[in-house]
Amino acid sequence: MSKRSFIVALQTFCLFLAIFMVSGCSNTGSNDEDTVKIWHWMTDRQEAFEKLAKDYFDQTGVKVVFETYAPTDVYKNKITAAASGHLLPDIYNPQSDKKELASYINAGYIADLTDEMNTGWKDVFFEKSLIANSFEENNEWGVKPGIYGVPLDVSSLMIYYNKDLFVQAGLDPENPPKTWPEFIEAGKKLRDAGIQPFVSGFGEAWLIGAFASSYQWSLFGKQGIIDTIDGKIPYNDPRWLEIFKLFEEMRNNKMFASGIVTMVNKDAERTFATGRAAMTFNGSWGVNVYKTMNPNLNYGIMYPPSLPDAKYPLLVFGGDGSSMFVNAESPRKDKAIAFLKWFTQKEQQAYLAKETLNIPSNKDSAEELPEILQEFSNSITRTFENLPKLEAWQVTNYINLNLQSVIIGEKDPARAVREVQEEKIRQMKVQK
Amino acid sequence: MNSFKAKKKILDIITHLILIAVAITCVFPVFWMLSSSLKTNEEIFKSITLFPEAWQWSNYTEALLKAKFGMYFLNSLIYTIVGVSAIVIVTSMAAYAFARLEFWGKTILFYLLISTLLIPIPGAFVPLYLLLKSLHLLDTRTGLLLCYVSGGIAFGLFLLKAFFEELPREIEEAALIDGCSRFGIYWRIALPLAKPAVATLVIIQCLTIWNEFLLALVVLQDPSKMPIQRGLMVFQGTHMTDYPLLMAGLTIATVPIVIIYLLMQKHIVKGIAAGAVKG
Repeated sequence: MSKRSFIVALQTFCLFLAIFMVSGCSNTGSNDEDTVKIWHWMTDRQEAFEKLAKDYFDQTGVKVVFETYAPTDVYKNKITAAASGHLLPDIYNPQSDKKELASYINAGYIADLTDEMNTGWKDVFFEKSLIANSFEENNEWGVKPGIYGVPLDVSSLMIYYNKDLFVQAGLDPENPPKTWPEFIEAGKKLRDAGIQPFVSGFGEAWLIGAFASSYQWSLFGKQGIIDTIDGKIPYNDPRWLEIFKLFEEMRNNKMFASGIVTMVNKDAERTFATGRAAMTFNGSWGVNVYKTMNPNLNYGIMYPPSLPDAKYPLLVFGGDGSSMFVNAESPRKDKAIAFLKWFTQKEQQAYLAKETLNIPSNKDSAEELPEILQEFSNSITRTFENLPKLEAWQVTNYINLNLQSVIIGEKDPARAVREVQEEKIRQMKVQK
Repeated sequence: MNSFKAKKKILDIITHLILIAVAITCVFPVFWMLSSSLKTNEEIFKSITLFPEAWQWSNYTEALLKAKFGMYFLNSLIYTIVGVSAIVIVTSMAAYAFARLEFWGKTILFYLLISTLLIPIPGAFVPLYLLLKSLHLLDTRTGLLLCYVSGGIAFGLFLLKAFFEELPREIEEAALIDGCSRFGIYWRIALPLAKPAVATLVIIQCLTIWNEFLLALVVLQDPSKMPIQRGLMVFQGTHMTDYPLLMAGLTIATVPIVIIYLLMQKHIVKGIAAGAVKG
């Protein structure tokens, strides 16, 4: 290496080092003691959040900063690391299941908002949206009963249908099928017209489970589901067999899009948005997704078709959505709570819903929503009720896998339910 | 044409066909990225075409403005140049010491350092975060750079030590007889001879730091210090992605790294051919 090139290299390095030393060591982040800091993962809502933060500053003089960290797993890592260092922001979401959420609460990282909520704040929310953020008396994690989170939006899952494809198949786009036989009949007509009748991300087990759960609620009711979890009703009960047979019937009538059991929801969304399938089972977030993928898509939504012999009303999966939690250690806790109160009022929620096409958690904002979202919003009152206990995840997983097996014809419904029951017995022995 | 020549020609054709097929599979994603960056979102989803119907050059300006690429670009440039320079300086000196000097615990220390290659970055998030907090280096460029440098040491050591060990000792001994110091030998003889290996290290570390994203998001909070990958994040929502802008952003982010690769290409080939990646 020549002396000249060495000097040039050294000078360049020193120049960059100098720039970095000057600008890098100082912490210029928003460390204003009065600034409420929020960490979130919803990159597509950043602009709307910033606009509302500006409005809040104009009205109250309190500065609120929304900082985005995505994707969700990175966000979660950041929250975990920050919690270990007692450096959590004023408002955040640990992105965890109830068990982990409980550990954050028990560690003193999440504030109990029950008293604040009882001042009338909780009345603005859909009841279901609060349940996911609450802990009941004698919960298994030892958390003091109360409300800990503030719901920002809610979601539910319904069937979207393509009106243009319905017309092509000779179906009435304003009267989608309401009952199971009508649904199967519509599927046959669509298939005869060369259209794939139904698509969904059934490669993601939770989606197939969500679809089947509507029929579980419809045939068993709440007590029946609890009795099944307790092992009092076996999974080879004729009603469970009927649920599995619904999927077999769809298969026999060629209703499923090809590759449905390996399809992730993103692919299913693309298939529906591009008119390659007439119906899809998807969440309310799909409204925004389809608008982005195909703004001219002409569609409507309908409930999963009801069963003629069902004893209980048909309910849908959903009711909860994104939530925010207040850092109990924050010196700006009161300001954070005051901001969230303002943030969840009708006007702000309506703005957020309009900009982001999500269903607001504030039930009074629904009237200002676009028609489709209003329908979704109405469905929130028809979502599954809260259960005091949950089925073992191994059993739930087994149900979903066996439903997939029925769809591809690997197992017949009788064998599938028998195997689920065997798994249930296995898990009950493990629990004992 | 005799049978030997004919056989050779057939073999050449087969070899070239295989190479062309491999080259296409390598280049196609890049072509797809460029093509998608000039389409509309609707076109990407509705029609699978190689070329856009109408070329949307505005995607690039929109991506530049929306993702605040200017600021992130400068940050990434600083992180990459300072980080890679520091890695090269530290690891080349350390690797030379491990290859040529005798000291107590040399082998154990070497394997201890190399073993850090096995620790995945997400697994080190919490301890790194706590360490940076105690050093008051959280949310600082210095903190992030120290993480990058420490993360690059093990690989650099592994790569350069093997190369230094391959160098003929006779050259160094001749320099010692001529009165050159140990550092002089490292600086004037060993390092220039290790240019191919250093070039390999530079390109690999440039790629690593330029594309790094997870650590930066955990360590930093101030958006003005974030690297270029943070800019790409704004196009990816929870349920949807703005593909044309994302592809335009990716193209912009790829350009510097392609330039570095082209500049270093001949050294990398030499580096690999000369046994730089021997363990």
